[in-house]
Amino acid sequence: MGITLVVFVLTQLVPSNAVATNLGEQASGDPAAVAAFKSHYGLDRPLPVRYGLYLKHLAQGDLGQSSLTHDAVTHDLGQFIPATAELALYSIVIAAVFGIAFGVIAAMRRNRPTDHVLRVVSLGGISMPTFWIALVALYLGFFKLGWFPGAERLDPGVTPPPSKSGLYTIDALLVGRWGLFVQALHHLVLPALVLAAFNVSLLTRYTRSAVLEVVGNDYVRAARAKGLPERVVVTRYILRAALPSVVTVLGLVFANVLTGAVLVEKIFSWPGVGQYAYQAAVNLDVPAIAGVSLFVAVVYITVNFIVDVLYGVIDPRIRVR
Amino acid sequence: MTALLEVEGLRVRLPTPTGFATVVDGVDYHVEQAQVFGVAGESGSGKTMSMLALLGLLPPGSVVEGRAAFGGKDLLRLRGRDLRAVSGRDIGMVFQDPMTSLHPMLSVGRQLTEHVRRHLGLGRRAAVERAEELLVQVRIPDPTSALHAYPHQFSGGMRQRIAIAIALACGPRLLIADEPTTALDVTVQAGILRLLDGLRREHDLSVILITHDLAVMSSIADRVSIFYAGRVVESGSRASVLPHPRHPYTRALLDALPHPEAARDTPLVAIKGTPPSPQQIPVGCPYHPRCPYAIEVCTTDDPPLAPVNGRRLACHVDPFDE
Repeated sequence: MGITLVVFVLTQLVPSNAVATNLGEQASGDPAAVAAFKSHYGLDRPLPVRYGLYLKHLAQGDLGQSSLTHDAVTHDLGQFIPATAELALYSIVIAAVFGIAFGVIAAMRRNRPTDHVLRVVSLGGISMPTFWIALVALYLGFFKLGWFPGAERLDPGVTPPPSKSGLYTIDALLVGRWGLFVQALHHLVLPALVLAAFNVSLLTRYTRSAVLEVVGNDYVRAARAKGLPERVVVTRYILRAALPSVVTVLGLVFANVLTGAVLVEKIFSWPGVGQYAYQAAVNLDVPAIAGVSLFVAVVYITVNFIVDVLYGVIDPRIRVR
Repeated sequence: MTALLEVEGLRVRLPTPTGFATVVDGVDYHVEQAQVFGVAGESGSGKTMSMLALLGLLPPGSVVEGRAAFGGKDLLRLRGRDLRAVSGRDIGMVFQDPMTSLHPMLSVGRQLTEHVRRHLGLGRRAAVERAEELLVQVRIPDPTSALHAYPHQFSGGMRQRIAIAIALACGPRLLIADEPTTALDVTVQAGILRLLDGLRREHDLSVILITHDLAVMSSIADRVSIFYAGRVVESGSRASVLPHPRHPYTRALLDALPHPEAARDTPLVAIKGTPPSPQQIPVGCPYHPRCPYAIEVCTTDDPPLAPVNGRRLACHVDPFDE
């Protein structure tokens, strides 16, 4: 509810002229056309009434009409979300797997060469802006080496697999088309890695410090005294205890991936929500901006909710009974 | 009779930012079958480190020298799989603070069965049965539901009983209890000590009891060693050492015990000075700066631990010789 208000107020604050963007130069000179447009979209009513209308439409699942594509924003989002979801999914998985693994390794090899290397690399990953990493990756991986495709989700002219989930890799697998799966994956590698780079570094650093905080605990020593293999001590005793902090950062990673997607999708011409948001922002497509903001907010709240639930799953001490 | 555990010349050096610190400096002791061996000394006297060294639990980078014969093996030479086969199986360990020695996010059942299944090869069901038996032995009410509970649902005394159950789960021959009662209330302490004493008799178990509380030690130990600055300064049977301490440090420790029956105005006695830091052990007898009986030779020569009728003593002066 709070978000809808913020989104709404922001859209009203944007110095855009809905009339000018929608009607074009000639028609906006015609008072009758302007009046008709305003009354059609309710722009002649006072603000609170318009907010009420906005909410009413929202409740009916109507986010308005994009002034750029002239399609319903919900329709546009439906088109673009799967591409972003696929990109985000892969980069979050990459970030989680490598970030946590690197963090644990660095902590267990504290102050040894492996640790130093991982710390320097992750510091680099955190310090370099994503757009720069993206440009370098594109230059090297696509232009110089030619190892990876530089744009889009599939090679030009290739028809996507029949849509079940909208994620090409999964859809391709569902119909058993290996070639298509590999191709979709190939297209995903570079943008997903770029989007994951910052987050791998972030997770590495947080996991390392969370693990270091628990390795000195008595229960870790007790686990070793029980003669448990080191693998069990590290995963069941150390990582488990560090998990709450790691999950917190994973929530952050989710948010980072969503914001990072705008840049990465732009640079890799990835037809996703980020690209859509970028176009909307550049063209002052107010309903689209509001729609994307709302979408991001909903995802963000959902992720935070899941994180809170996970705390309870991980730590019995904060379990609700 | 051969000893269950025989430690000789144990020396432990820990890495510090300014170089190695010798926290245990040439310690000998042995533990007999089905006896309680008490180790006493102030904090920082190397008691705990000398025990952690046995199971390879010292911080990474530590250097251990000496020999610790246990069941035909030298514990200090065991590594990896061989060490893990002994840890938790033949030697159980109980730590000082039961609030931190149990993992807060794992159920009691899991912590009580995982090493049993691994060491004894029991199936899930057999391990759970064994765990329930153990909980009964350490007098935890309602063992079945206790297995599904988490450590935070128990009091300190209960947790220590659970920790003891974990240490005893695989039927070890030696139990190392590192200040098992220090973090507990006095009334709970007595219960834990009675429990340890009972278990030792039932299971023919040897116990190393580390403590800084001589009152605790005098209640159950068979033989005692007094540690100071990483060395043994006096050792022998409880019956000889505690009633008639010969080392000034042992005597000071005993004098520092409060006596409930003493007159109301009796001041509490403290040992003056502080124990030396492991990086700056004094030359000569490490206790001489705090010792009221110190003479010239104490400041230059470190007294050897020598047999003196029925006990071993490291003191040049021996002021309490009868």
